[in-house]
Amino acid sequence: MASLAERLRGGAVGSLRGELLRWLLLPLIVLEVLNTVSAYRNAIDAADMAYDRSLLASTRALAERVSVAQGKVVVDVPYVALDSFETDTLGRIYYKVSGLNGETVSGYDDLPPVPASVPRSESYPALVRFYHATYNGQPIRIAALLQPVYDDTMRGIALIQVGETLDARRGLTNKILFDTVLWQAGLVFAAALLIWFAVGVVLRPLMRLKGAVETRSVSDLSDLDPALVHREVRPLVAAMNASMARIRALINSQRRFIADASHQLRTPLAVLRTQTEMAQRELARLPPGTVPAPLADMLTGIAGTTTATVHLANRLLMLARIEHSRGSLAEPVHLRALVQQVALELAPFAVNRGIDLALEAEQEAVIAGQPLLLHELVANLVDNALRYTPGGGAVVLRVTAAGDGVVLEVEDGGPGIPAAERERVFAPFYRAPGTSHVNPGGAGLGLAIVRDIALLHDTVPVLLEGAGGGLLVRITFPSSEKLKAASA
Amino acid sequence: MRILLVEDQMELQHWLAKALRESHLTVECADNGADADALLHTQDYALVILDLTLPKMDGLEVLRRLRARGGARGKTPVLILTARGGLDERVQGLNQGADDYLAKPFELVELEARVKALLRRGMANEALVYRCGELSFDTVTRMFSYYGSPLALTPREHAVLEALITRSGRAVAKEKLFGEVFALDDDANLDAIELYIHRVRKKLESGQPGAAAIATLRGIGYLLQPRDQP
Repeated sequence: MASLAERLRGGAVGSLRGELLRWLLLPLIVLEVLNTVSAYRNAIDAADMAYDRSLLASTRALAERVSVAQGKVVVDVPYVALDSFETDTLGRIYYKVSGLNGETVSGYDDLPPVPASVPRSESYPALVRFYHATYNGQPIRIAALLQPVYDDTMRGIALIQVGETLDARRGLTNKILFDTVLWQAGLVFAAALLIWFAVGVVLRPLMRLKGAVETRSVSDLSDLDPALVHREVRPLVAAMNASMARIRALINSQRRFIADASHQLRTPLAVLRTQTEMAQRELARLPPGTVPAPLADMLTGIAGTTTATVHLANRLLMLARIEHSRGSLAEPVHLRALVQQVALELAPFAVNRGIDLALEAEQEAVIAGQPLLLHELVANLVDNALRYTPGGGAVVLRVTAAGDGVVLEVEDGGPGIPAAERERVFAPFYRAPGTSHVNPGGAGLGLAIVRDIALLHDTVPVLLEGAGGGLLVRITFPSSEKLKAASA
Repeated sequence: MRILLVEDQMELQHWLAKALRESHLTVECADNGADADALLHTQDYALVILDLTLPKMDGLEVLRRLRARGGARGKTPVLILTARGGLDERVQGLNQGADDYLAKPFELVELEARVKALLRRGMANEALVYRCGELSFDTVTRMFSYYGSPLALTPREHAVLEALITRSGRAVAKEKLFGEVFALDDDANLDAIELYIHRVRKKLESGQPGAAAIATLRGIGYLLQPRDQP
């Protein structure tokens, strides 16, 4: 019962099947036992009645042979009839005929007498009484019949007793008991099997629910359909949905906070930026040589820091804005055109730094996604690649169809990322060792943004080593099934 | 030229106005939506720089009312300035009839460039000269000059260079350039553009500072930039 206490405390719950088997089979077995006992009793009564009837018949046959001759009760025992009776019942027969005064006329003198308490049988018109007794150490059943005898000289009542051993009755009742027990056991077994399978069938909707939960994407926090399961289980789904709604609200409020914070930063940053640029212009207007060099350096430093802070605020806002389940993620996006657009935007930066930026794409490739987010993803990758590639190096962008999907690759001419570092660079604010002097304005958010957007598109960025030792980022977008489904 | 600057953040308003006045513009300021709406009702401006988050009346509402009035005044170019910067808002702003959009914090140079571009749009007839190093292009005479003397170009070379210089430092997609150089019925291959790029590049070659150069971005497009830019 410890398990029950555990369950009451809300502890571990065993298998539903086991539970149902226990709760249904135990009472069923008790009921079956009661049923068997009652059936056995009835069987004994029925057997007694049947055997009593033939015992009475033998007793009557004997009684008919009882007569009065010369003032005495005499009997002509029909041994043949008794023998055949013995053969029929497989038992032994004992008889006794008593005279008018109770004297033994014929048969076994020591046959147990009729107990005073035995009532007359109501089932038969004759004056017969049945009772159990022990004779020669064996239990026997005896029929006692009162038979009137008379002739011209006298009249009275003779007592005829016929007893038989219980072998046949026992045989019959045992057979009935055995059959009954066998039959009931079969029923219990069949019930157990039925419960086993029924539980399987009944649990199927729950398994469907499990499948629906398992196959959803990491970021999917939408409600589950209560119609997936039985009416009785729907409160559970409703509770899950309510819990998920709370998580959604929490995530949303967190994102809103980050977004608000970045917004609030933007206006003062705009002021700071404007002031810095104005100051630099003022300084540039002064005659050469009149400006102290440290002052100009400091101003340049302030401008650089402002730019880095602006960059950080923008990235944070972007990260907060990659809202889950918002906007359509199944718009057709021409990936080659999108990558080309990003490359055109970043081309001046590449050319100024003397980096050879190229796009290798045989043909247009259409994927399903959110165009603005994908633009942000590609822009982050290309921007990163350009920042880590030294002047004179090359950055190659590739868009290729592979099987059902579309592969986007960005390979830079930088130092690459050691295999041990590769997983960590996706964490927000993580800066790989030695990157702060290559890319001082970086915030360590670019790859985090890339991964978040990729996850929304059911894929992940994979970091590899390029042919030239640089970093190769590969993202395989899944086949545009959503797209096909949407257009169908 | 007179422009209206609507910005509720006084410090930013002050510095922006100062910067714009240095570009020889007459700047009037409003620090809330209602004032801006009232001014736009009676005054003519060459341009409105409009912040979206404003007290008394939202920037988008000011814009909607301005456009709803119609007429010449209703067509005043509007540059939206906002800290919200959401993609949805950007689309919404442009749908409401904004001509351009700049998210805070912006670079002063960027704001000035956008302002100039919008003002230019309002006076298409006035002369405009695009420059790239020592190379310049006059939109009225449609002539290129390089180091002060006219640059001789065939019509297609001219089309290529014009398409590049009018982008003012931005890269042009190969397909786009092709579309501007060749007519639809021209039986030309996309690679033919390479030939003209090559020829123009030769004509721009110069050992002196201030030379303009065309950079090729394989598979992407072309970019015209002064060679000795840092």
